[in-house]
Amino acid sequence: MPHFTIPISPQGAVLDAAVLVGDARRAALQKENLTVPDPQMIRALIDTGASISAIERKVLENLGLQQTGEAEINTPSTGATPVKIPTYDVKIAILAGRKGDLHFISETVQVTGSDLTQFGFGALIGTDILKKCVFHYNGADGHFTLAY
Amino acid sequence: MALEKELATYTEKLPSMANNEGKFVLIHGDKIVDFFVTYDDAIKAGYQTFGTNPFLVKRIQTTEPILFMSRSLGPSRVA
Repeated sequence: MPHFTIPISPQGAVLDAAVLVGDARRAALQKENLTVPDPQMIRALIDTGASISAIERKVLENLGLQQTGEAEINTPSTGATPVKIPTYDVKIAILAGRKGDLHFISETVQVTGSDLTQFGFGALIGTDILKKCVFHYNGADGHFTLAY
Repeated sequence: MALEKELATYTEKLPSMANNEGKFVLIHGDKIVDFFVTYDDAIKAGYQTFGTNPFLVKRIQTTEPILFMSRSLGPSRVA
């Protein structure tokens, strides 16, 4: 499998990524003579505690996305009762390395919009994307490897 | 609320869609448009049929799964 290895940051397994409108939405925008928003560059944290990936709300706003779904989710603040939250369709490109090399672009995935600025990154890459990867976190040597 | 009508349609029609459990349904207003095996196919059909107008894609599950997030996330709706 293709893979890359990068150092673990103080925040954890963080890498560069880009969030894009999906192919179908892109085609719809072009058909309606609307501008296709540019990809949004972000820092993303690989989070094995997230079963759905989350994108900073401002990033989704910049992409002009509209809600296309809904999910029920539990977070540390929801208690035992899950909350219903809107979901959006995007593609996520994983970049890494000194030159920000493009490693892979996901298929269109369902993500939540969230206020992540307080954490210092623009996305949480959850197990919905990791399920197609091999993720090796080598804390002892201070790096992680993602194979895809 | 965005997709209010579509989400109400999903809830109302869920019992009759049980034989499509696990598939993705495309809903526009109060109309069930079609069923798809993959999320990607359903989203594609939604944009091809309705352009940038609202539509809902939802996996048919008689018991709604609960997803998890390791941290509290604040407001989630895009303005």
